[in-house]
Amino acid sequence: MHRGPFTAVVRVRTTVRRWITLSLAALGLFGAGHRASAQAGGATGTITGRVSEAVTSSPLGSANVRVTGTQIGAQTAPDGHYTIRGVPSGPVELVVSHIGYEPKHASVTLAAGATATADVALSQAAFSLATVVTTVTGAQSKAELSNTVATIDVASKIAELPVHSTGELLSGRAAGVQVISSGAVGGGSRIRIRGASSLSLSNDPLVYVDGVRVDAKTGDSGIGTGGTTASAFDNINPEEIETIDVIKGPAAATLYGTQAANGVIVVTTKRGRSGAARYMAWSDNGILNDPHKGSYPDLYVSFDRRTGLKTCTLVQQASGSCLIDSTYHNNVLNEPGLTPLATGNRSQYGLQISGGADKLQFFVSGDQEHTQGPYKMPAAEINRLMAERGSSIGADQIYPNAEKKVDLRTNLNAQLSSKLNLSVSIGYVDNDNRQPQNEDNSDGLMVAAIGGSARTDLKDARGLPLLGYRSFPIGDIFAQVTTQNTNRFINSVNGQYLPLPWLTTRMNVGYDYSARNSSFIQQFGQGPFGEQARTGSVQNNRAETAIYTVDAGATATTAAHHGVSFKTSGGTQYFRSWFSSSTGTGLGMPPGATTTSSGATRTATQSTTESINLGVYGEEVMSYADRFFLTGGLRYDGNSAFGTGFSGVYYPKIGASWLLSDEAFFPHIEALNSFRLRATYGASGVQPGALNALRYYQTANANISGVEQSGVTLTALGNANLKPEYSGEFETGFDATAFSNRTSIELTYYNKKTKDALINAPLAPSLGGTITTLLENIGSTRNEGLELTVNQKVIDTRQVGFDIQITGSSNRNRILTLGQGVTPIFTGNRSTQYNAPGYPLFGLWGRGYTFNDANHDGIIVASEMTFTDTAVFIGPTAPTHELALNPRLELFGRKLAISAQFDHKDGMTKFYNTLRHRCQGGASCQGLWDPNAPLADQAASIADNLNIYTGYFRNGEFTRFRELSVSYQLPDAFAARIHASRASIIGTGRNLHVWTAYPGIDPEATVGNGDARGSEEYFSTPPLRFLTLRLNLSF
Amino acid sequence: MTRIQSHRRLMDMLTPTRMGLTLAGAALLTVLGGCKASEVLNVTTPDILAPGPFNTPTGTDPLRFGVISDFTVGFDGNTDSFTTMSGDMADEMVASDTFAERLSVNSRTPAEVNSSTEAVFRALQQAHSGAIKAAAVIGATQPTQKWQRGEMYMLRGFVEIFLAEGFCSGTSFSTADDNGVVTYGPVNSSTALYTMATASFDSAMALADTSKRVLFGSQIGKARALLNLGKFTESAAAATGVPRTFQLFTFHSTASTREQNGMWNAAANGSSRYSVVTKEGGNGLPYLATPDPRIPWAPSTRIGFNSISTNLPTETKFGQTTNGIVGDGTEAQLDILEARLQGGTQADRDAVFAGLNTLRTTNTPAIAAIAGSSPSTQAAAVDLYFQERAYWTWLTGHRLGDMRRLVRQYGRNTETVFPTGLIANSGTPSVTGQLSGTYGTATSMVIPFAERNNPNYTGCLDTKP
Repeated sequence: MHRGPFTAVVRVRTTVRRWITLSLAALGLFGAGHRASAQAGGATGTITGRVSEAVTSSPLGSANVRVTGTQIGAQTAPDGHYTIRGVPSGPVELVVSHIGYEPKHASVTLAAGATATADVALSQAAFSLATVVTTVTGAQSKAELSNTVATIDVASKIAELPVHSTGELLSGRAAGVQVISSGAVGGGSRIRIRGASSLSLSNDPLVYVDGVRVDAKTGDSGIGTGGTTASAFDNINPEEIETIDVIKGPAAATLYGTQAANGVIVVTTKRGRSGAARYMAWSDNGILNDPHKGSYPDLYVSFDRRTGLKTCTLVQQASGSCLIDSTYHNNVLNEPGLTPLATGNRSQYGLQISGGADKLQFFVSGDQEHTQGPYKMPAAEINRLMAERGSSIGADQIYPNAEKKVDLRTNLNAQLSSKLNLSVSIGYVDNDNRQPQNEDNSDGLMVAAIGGSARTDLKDARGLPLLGYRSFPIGDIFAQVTTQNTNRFINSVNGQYLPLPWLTTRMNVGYDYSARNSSFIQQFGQGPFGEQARTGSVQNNRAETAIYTVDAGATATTAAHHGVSFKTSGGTQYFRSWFSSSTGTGLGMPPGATTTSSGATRTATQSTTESINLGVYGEEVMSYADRFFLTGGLRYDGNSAFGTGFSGVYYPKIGASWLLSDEAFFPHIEALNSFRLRATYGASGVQPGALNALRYYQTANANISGVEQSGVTLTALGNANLKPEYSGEFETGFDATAFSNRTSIELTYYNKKTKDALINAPLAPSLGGTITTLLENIGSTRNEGLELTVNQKVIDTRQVGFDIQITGSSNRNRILTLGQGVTPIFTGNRSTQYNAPGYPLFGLWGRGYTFNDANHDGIIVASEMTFTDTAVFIGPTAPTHELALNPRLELFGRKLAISAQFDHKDGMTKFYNTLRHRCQGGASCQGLWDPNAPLADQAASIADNLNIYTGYFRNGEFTRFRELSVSYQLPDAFAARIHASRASIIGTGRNLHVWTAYPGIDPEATVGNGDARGSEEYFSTPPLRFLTLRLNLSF
Repeated sequence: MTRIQSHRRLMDMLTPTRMGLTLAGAALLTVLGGCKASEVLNVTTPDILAPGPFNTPTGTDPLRFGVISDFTVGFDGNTDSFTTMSGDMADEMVASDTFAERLSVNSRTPAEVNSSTEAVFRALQQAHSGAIKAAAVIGATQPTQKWQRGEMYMLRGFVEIFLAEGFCSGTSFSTADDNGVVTYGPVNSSTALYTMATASFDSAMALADTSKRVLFGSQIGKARALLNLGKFTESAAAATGVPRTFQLFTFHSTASTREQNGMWNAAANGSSRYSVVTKEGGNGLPYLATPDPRIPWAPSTRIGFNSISTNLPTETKFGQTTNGIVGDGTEAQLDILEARLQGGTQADRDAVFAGLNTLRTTNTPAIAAIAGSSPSTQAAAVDLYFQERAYWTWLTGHRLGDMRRLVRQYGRNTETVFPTGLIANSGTPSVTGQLSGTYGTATSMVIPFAERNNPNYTGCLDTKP
C-alpha cells in the first residue's frame, strides 16, 4: 500500500457484530424455505437440441435455454444448437427465450446418464417478458422484475448501425436515457438517466462490463483543451457487445448500492458458442464533416471613412461621434482558402472468431479504427510555416483532430464440471486521441476563427496579416498539439458453481485498469505569437485509474409447490477505486525539444485518490404461478468517503410484478396477448468524493527574499458528518402485448426524490477565504416523469418486414431545498444558471428588458431600453421531453433492410454564448454594427454589454435525422465466390439533418461534458455528419 | 390436505436442510465477519496534510510561509489581484479583455456577482485568516519568535487596508475552528477596518524586535491607515523614521505559476487581459504622455486579449520575477508631505512643493524638478500632490484609495476624479481599438454575493468613496 508523508486512515464506526448480525439475517433467508432435491444423490443427464426461427426455420443463435426453476441452462450457438449438462434426471421442463421472440416451453423426460433432445421453434414478438436481463443476483426474466429495464440487443444490430461509440449506441434506444456527444472526433458522450439529481456530484450512471464495475467518467482527459473531453465509457468497443441492459433508477438499482442512484448500465460482451469456428470480418470506410461548413454566420464591422479608417458602432453613430458609411461582414470559416474546416475520414477493419467444443467456447475479437477529424490547416498556412521553420509540418499539426483505436478481446467459457462454469473475459483497448485547442479557450480554433473582429486588415504582433482571424493565424493555433494515449484492460473472471440443483453460487472478480498518457507540446518558436508558451512549453500528465471488483453471491431457488416458489439471493460486493496522476511541465525550451526535462523552468505535481465501498445485500423473490412476483431486498454499504460521524447506509427495496392477463378474472380481450402491472420502491445513493469529509492543508510555496520556502494553506474545512446522497424512487407502470404479440407497449411513471443531497454550499469569503464551498448534505431534489416504449410489427412476411420502435420520455426536475441559510448557487458561464428551490437544476435565469426605438432612427441605445431589477427563471437547460422514432423496412425476401432514427427533444433553453461573446468582448455581431440589424438583436447586444444575457437564451428544441442505414445481403453466389457463408454491404449516415429554430451552430453543440456547461454553445463543434460504407463477411 | 397438514409437510421438508445450511452459513460468515470492516475500508490519502502538525512548533514556519504566499497572491500574484483590479477601477489600467468581470470593473459598473473580484476578495480573506491562525500558533508554541509573529500582524493590517480601499463598506471576518465550529463575524465599516488596521500595525511594531522589515513596513501601513481615516498628523508621525530606501516587497519567481508577478502577467505578457493607459476617461492622469522614470513602459505591437486593442503599451516596471512593492520609504515621505499640505497656507504649499521636488531630484535616477513654481491655490496644490503620489506609487495598489480620498476628504466631485463618459479611444497614444459603453458611477468593487451566506451580511453598508 502506498504511504505518503501523511496517511489519513478513515475508519468506519461499523462494529464486527453488526456485520455478522446482518450476514446471519441474510443467511436466515437462505436457511428457510428450501427443500432438498428429490434426487439428492445427483443422477443427471444431458439435454441437447436446436432452436430455430418459426417463420423461416433459420437457426437462432444466442437463445437462452433454461431448466425451469433452476439456474441450469445454456445459450444456443449461431447454428441454433445447444447442450445442457448436469440436468437432474426425470421430467424436465425447459423455457426457451430470445430477445424479440415469444418464449416457449418444452418438456422432456430425462433418464440418468442419458441424452434427451428438445428442438424448439420461436415466433417473433415485439416484446417478451421472458427476455433475460442481467442483474446483481444473476440472470432474471423481465417478468419477475418489478421495474422496467431497457435491453438493447447490440450484437444483431451493430453491423447496421452508424455508431462509432457506445454512447451513440444508446442514443434514442432507451426511453429516459439522454445522450449528448461532443462534436470533435474522440470527444466523449454524456449520459443522463431520468435527469440530473445532483448539483455537486457526478450524474453519470454506473457501468458494469461482464460483472465488474468500470470507469465510465465522461470527463476523462489529462490535459484540457477548452471543453471537449474524452469519455472512459466510449472506450468500450460496441463491436464486442452482446447486449446492454439499462437499469434506470434507484428503484431498480438498489442492490448495486452506493453510486447507483443515477442508474446502471450493464454491458455483456459476446461469448463463444459450441461448434466449428465462425469468422466474421468487416471493413468500414467513410467520410465525415462539419455540417455547417460553408454556412457559419458572418462577423460584422462598420466604418466611418470620412477621416480615415475608423470603426463606428451603431451606438457611436447614435451619439453623433461617427457616421457609418460602410458595413463589412464575412467569416473565415466559410472562405475556401482560409477555413480550417475540411472533410475527414474514417476507416475500421475487424475480425471476430468464435467457436468451441461443448466444454470450452471462445470468442476472440480484434479491430482497428482510424478517424481523422474535420479540421485541416489551410495550404497557405502550411506554406507559411514551412518557410518560417525551414522544415515540413508534421501531420499532427496539419490534422489536429484524430483518433486511432485498437481493440482486442478474448472471452473464454469453460464448463469445468457439470456443476462449475467459468468465464474469463479479457479486453484491451489502445486509444490514441488528438484534440485541437478549442471551445472556451483564448488560444483555441473556434475563438481564433470567430471570436474576434471581422476586420481583415488587422495584423498580429509580428505584422502578419490575420485575414479575419482574431489574434493568431490558424497555423499557430494548430502548433499546439494535445494528445492522449490510453491503454486500458477490462478483465474479469466469472464463476458459477451449482453445488445443488437449486443453489447457484457465483463470484465475479475483475478489474478495470487504465494507463493514460496525455501531453501538450508547443515547440520553441511555434504557437501563438507573443504568448509565453512560444518559448517552448510542454505539459505531460501520466495517470492510472483502477477499479477492482470482488462480488460474491448465491441464489437458492425452490421448485414450485402449490404454484409458489421462492428465490433467495444474498451476497457481498467490494469495490476499490484508485486514481493516481503525475503532471510535469517544462517552460522555456530549446528548439526541437519536446520533453519536460528540456524546460528551463520545470514544475511537477502529483495526486492520488482512493475510495473503497463494501456492501452486503439480500433479496427474496416470491413467485406465484409464474404470474405474480413479490420482491423484497435490503442492502447495507460502508464507504471510505463517508465522514467519521456516519457509519453506513441501508438501501431497501420492495416491489411487485403481476401478469394480470394470465388471471382467470382478467377480461378476455381478443387482441390483447399479455398485460403486466408492476410497481416498486427502492433506494440507492451517490457517494461523496474521496477527500470531501476531511479537513486538510495543502502546500502553498512562497519565495522569501529569493529563497523558495515550503508553506501551507488551509484548503478544506471538512465535514465529519458527510454521508451519501440518498435517492428513493417509486416506479410503476405496465407492459402490454397485443395483436399476436406484434404490438408491445411499456409505460412507466417514476418519481425519484434525492435527500441529503450533497450541495457545495457556498462559503462566505469571510469564513472560507479561497475555500469557496463546503460539501454538506443539506439539499433535496426530485425527478419525475413518464417513459413510453412502443414496438410495432407492421408487416411480417417472408418477403417484407416493417416494424417501428418509438421511445419517449418526459422529465420534470426540481430542487426542493438547499438548506437553511444557503444562498442560491450560481453555476454556468457568466453565472447564468441559478440553482434555487422550486426550480430545475442548472436552470437559466436572467433579467428582462424591453426596448423601443423612440426616436425612430433605427438604432437602439441604452436610454431606449428598460431593464428589470432582478433575474427571473427563463428555462431549464436539459430537455423535458424526448421522442425517438426507429423505423425499419425489409424488402426482397428481407435481403434489403432500411432503418433510420429520428430524434426529437424539446423543453430546454440553450445559452447561445458564442453570440454573447461576439456581441460583447468579441465586438463582431450584427447587432453591434449593422444598421440593418433587427432591433431585437441590437437590444440584446446593449443588454449584453450591461452583463444581461437574456437575449441569448434561446429555445433549444430540435428534431434530428440522426441515423440512416441501408443494408443489403449480397447473393449467396457472390459470397461463395469469396468462400464466405454470408456477405452484406451496408451504407450508413449519421447526423444527416436537423430541424430547429435555434439560431446557433447546433442545438446539441456543447462546450463540455459536464452538466453546468454541457447545454451551452460556446465556440463549440456541432455533431459531425458521418457517411460510411461497410462490408460484412461471415465465414 | 388441510392447510395445517400442508404446512406441517412443508416444514418437515424444510427443517433438515435449513438446519444444515444455517450452521454452515453461520460458520462461513463468522469467518468473514472476523475481518473487521473498518480495516477493509481504510484508504491512504497522500495528497493532503492533516491539521495536527500545524498546531505544533514544527508547523509555525510552514504556516507563516503559507500566509506570505497567500498575501502575495492576493496583493499582486495573479492576473486578477488587488493591484490589477484596483488599478483597473482607477485610472492606471484598462481591461483589454473580453471577460465582463474585468470590463465591468474598468467601466465602474462592478456587479455583486463577479468571479474576478470575488477571487481577489477571497485571496485577501485567506491571507487574513491565515495570519490570525499563524500568529496564534506562533505565540502559543514559539513565543520567542517575536518578529515572525509581528510579521503576521503586519500582513493582516495591510489586508484590512486593501479590503477597505478596494471594496465597498461592510467587510466581515469569520472563523471556523479545527472542530468545524463556525462563528460569523459582524460587518465592519471601512472606517472600522482602518481602525482595525492601525491596531494590527501597533501589535506588529510591538513585536518587530530585530526586523526592520516588520518595523518599517508596519509604520508605512499604519501611516496609510491613518491617512484613510483623515488623521494626517498622526499619519505623518507614524511614517517618520522610515528610510527613503526602504521597500516592503512581495517576492516572485517562476517556481510555480502562483509565484509569478501578477502585474507582469496582466499587462506585459502576450495577449494580455489588462493594459496600462493614459488619460483614461478624460479625468485619468496622463501617465504615458511624457517620459518619466517612475512610469517605465514601452510601445509594442502587442494585441490585447480582446483582439481589438492593438499596439498595446507594455508596462516594464515589473517583470515575471520582479518583486512587488507593498509600500516604501517614498510613500512615507509623501504621507508626511500630505500632512503638511493640510495647513492650507502658501507656506505649506511651498514646503510641499519643495518636498516633492526633493523626492524627484534625490531619486536614483534623478528626475528633473517640477517645472514652474509652487501652486498658488490649495486646489492646484492638491492636484499636484496627488499626481505626484500617483506617479510614485504607479501600479502598486495605492491609486484607487487615493482617488477615493480625493472625493471623500478633499470634497472633489467623483466625476472629476474617476474616468467618466464614453468608453472609446481611451486616449492611450497607441491603442487603436475601442471598447463600447459608458462609464458608471461606482468608486469601489462590490463585496461578493457569496458573502450573503454570512447571516450578518445583507449587502454593502454603503458604496461611498
